[in-house]
Amino acid sequence: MNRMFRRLALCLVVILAAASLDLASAMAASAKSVTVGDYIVRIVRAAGLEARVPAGAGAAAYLAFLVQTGAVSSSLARSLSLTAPITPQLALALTTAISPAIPAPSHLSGVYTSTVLLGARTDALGFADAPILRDPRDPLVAKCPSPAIVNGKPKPCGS
Amino acid sequence: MRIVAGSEQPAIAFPRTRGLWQSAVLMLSVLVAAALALVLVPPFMADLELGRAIESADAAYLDQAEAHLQRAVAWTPANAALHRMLGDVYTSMMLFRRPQDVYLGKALASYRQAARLTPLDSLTFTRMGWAHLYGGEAVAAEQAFLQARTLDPNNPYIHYSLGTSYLWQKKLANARTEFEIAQRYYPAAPEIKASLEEVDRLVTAR
Repeated sequence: MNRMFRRLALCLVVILAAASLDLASAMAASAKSVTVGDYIVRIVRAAGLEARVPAGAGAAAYLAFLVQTGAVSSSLARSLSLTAPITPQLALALTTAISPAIPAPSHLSGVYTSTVLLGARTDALGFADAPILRDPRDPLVAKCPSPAIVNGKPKPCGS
Repeated sequence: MRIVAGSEQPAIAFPRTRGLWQSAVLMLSVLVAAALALVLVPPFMADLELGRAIESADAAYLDQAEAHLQRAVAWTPANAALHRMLGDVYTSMMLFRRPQDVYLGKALASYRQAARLTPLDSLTFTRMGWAHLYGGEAVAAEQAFLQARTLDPNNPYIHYSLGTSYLWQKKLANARTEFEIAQRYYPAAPEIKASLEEVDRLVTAR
């Protein structure tokens, strides 16, 4: 009986340790901001060009490849710090330089289209949860399928 | 051989019967195992491929995500969610690759297949609408978003999406209505703010 209790306790400790490690790594991942290097690597992958960069190469090789193809100017490349967190402006500049233009109507302003398209593109790069553009506390994602209407007003998602 | 009560049959009949029963049970077990394998293996394999596809897509390896999803679809062709996700991968490719119309065609084919399998899934129509929008087809996008709104009328993301298709067609009053509904759910969302500012700018410009 005593031995069984000890085994159970040991199992519980192992499960708790694994759960806390998992939680810690998840928290670390969510707290980590996206760097310029990460963003460049992902863009090259999304464009399907990663085979043209040596396997296992770092972000610097990806940036060098973009300079080589003419997508990024050498002056811009020199000004970039690959370990710095990406800003919306820089993300926009990089995506605009590399990605094809979306055929948005001409009456729409550049500020509007860049905001809407940058959101879509950062999601497509796998940065949906990273605060590149949006406030993570107020995400515009379909996590609230059909919120209830309370007293004629919609009940806000997450409340 | 043992002879019981003047007959040759019973003593040898019993072991033979047991042998037959054992064979029958064994055969039945094999059949049940084969049936279970046929039923359980495809969803299991599809799930495995789906997990790999999500991992690849999260790291922006879109070609790998596409390959894994196609394998998952081959295992379970009637799974609408897999077709929709495949459409999402093609839509993502469309945002970064040329020629865009090729990826748009692939995305729409996948979304249509998903819609055929689950015609009441509003998310499929919403994603279909965005694919149209990224392809510059605002009228087709509006139709898809309207279908999505019919299926899920209180979804703020669908209202925002429909508003965007109106804005792209310069239907400013309709766009404002939809954005304002979405904003009641998400007061600080930057996309909605930018969209309403754009409506204001265009109204003032008139």
